Amino acid sequence: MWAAALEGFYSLFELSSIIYLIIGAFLGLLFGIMPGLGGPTVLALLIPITFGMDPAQAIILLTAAMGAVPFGGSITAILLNTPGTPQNVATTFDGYPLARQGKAGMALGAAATASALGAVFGVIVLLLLIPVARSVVLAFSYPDYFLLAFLGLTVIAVVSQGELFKALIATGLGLMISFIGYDPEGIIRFTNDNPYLTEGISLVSVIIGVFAIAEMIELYVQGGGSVVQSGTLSKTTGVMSGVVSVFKNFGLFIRSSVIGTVIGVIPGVGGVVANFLAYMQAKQTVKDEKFGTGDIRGVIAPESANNAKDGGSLVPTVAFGIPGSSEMAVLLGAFILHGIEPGPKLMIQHVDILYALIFALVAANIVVSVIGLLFANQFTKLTLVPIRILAPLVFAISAMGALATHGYFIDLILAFIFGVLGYFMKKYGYSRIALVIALVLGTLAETAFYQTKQALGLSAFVTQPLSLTLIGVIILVLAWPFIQNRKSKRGVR
Amino acid sequence: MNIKAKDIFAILIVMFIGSMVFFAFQYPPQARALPIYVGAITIFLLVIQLLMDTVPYFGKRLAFLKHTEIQFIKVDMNEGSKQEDKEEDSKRTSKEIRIIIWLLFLGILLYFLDYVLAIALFLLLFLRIEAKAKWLTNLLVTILFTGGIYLLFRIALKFIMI
Repeated sequence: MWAAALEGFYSLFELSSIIYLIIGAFLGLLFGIMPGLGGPTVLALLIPITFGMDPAQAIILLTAAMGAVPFGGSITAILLNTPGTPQNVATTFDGYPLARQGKAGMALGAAATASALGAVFGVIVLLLLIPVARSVVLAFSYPDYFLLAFLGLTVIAVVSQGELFKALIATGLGLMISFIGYDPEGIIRFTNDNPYLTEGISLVSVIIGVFAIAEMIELYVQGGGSVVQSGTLSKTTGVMSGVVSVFKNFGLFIRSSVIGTVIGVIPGVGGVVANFLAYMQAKQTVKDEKFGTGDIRGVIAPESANNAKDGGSLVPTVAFGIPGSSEMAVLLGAFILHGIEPGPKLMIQHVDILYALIFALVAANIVVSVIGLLFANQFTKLTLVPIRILAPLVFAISAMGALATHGYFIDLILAFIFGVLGYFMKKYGYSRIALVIALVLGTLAETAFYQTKQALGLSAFVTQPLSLTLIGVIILVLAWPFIQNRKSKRGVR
Repeated sequence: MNIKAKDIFAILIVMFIGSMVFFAFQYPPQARALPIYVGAITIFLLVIQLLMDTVPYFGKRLAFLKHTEIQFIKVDMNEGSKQEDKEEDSKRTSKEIRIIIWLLFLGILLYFLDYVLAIALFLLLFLRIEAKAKWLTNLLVTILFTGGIYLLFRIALKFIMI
């Protein structure tokens, strides 16, 4: 095993591997930055190019691209409140306020460091988990999936920034939108006979709309000069302070990375949930009222979880051929196209490729974070572009991002509708984040609930140890603000 | 009763969710249960929100549901600032309408023209008419941005609209 690991490690230092790694990381960064073009797109684009390549090098190129996407997405999330990928949404909560305060460099520094270290953490867990992967993955059943989705919905209670009543309304709206399309039994609902809507509303269009377009409308209507409110970027709180902040909050980083890895291991839950849960955990543990209005810990938590998740997602992908995320599903396709069968055989027949993949993931994250740190100051200049110039560019790139998702014009219409809706939601105090969380988790929760009811009966929620543990976590999460409040009141007395 | 723009927004959401609940009744029990429950609860919350915002009696009685950090109804304002706010509001509304028209225009261009051409035309017109940018800036931004779109979507992704 160790000999194969060393072989995989050394294969990264071949010139061709280094070149593929850098190309992959650069492309991943670019596709992460572009709203609507995430990991699956860059992988789908690269797969045909890899046909003539050696399988190990092809996997290095693809893994590097996949690993670089989350950090690329965080750049626009921080600078423009436009998450490049859905899994960067929580990064906007504190990243963008920091950019508006002129601390974009600090936020980018923290995001780059947390991303790289998060990926390393995820991969270490992956290496440790490979021998026991089967039992970990199979431990999760239908009720646990439902409870995980429910746990995600509780995030709304802590990210609503006090406007809990309106956040609940936004949650209801998000859940209602998530009901559009097939229900778990295959019945088509609320589509008005439009075949496009049978698969549900495109999440990419919603995210582009409520974040990118809505934010640009808001900035344009406000009539400010640029994204940075103060007009000048802070020089004292630069990139290095962001890097240092990750080490200063190492406990938070570890907790967030653990969340990311665990969520990654569970197939189908995805990076969005990891992102939100890590943010929620940070909000619960950080005793600071300013959290949510530009706190560096609000960047560290979701970014660590985002990248740690990739290591976790590889566990079911390589161990059983069950994709842990949409990126992994495309990567799985690439494995098969190159004659590599994922699952137990991979660990026996192509163990060198397995380790090349693992080390490429770490290397890609380090490369892309170094690029991020080196060019962070250049990236931050984007926040100084006048809004009147920036707004039409964001509208145009958002339109192209929405169109490129499936190539349907209706995706563009939806992005514009959600853009206007998002603007008015922000204007009248309804949480856009709650809407997105509910939309993401609504389908997952409904499906898992239905499957539990059909396969195990509703009693399964309270008879299985893992479900009971998750119920306990949910109660703790919901009760935590009250406990803290009581503690602080006692402290005042 | 004092109905404002935010109340009209809430009424529109009630109508949207209400129509979904209405249509949900035509589906089998398993498929309609959650939409009806969630829809009914959301409409109930919206009605309370509307009552709080439009009827002062409810606003006072249910004040504990409102959050104090973000105040949308400003109080203790003198007439002068009210006048200024009205002017500011009308400016904002005018900008909101203009930007929505520009988005519609971009959509129409993308529907009828090739996307590279549509983006170029949108940028040229927006930057000139709305942003009042200088011709040099206008051309430079349009050419560079459209070039990037062309390289990425046409050359690299070979993207075709369906």
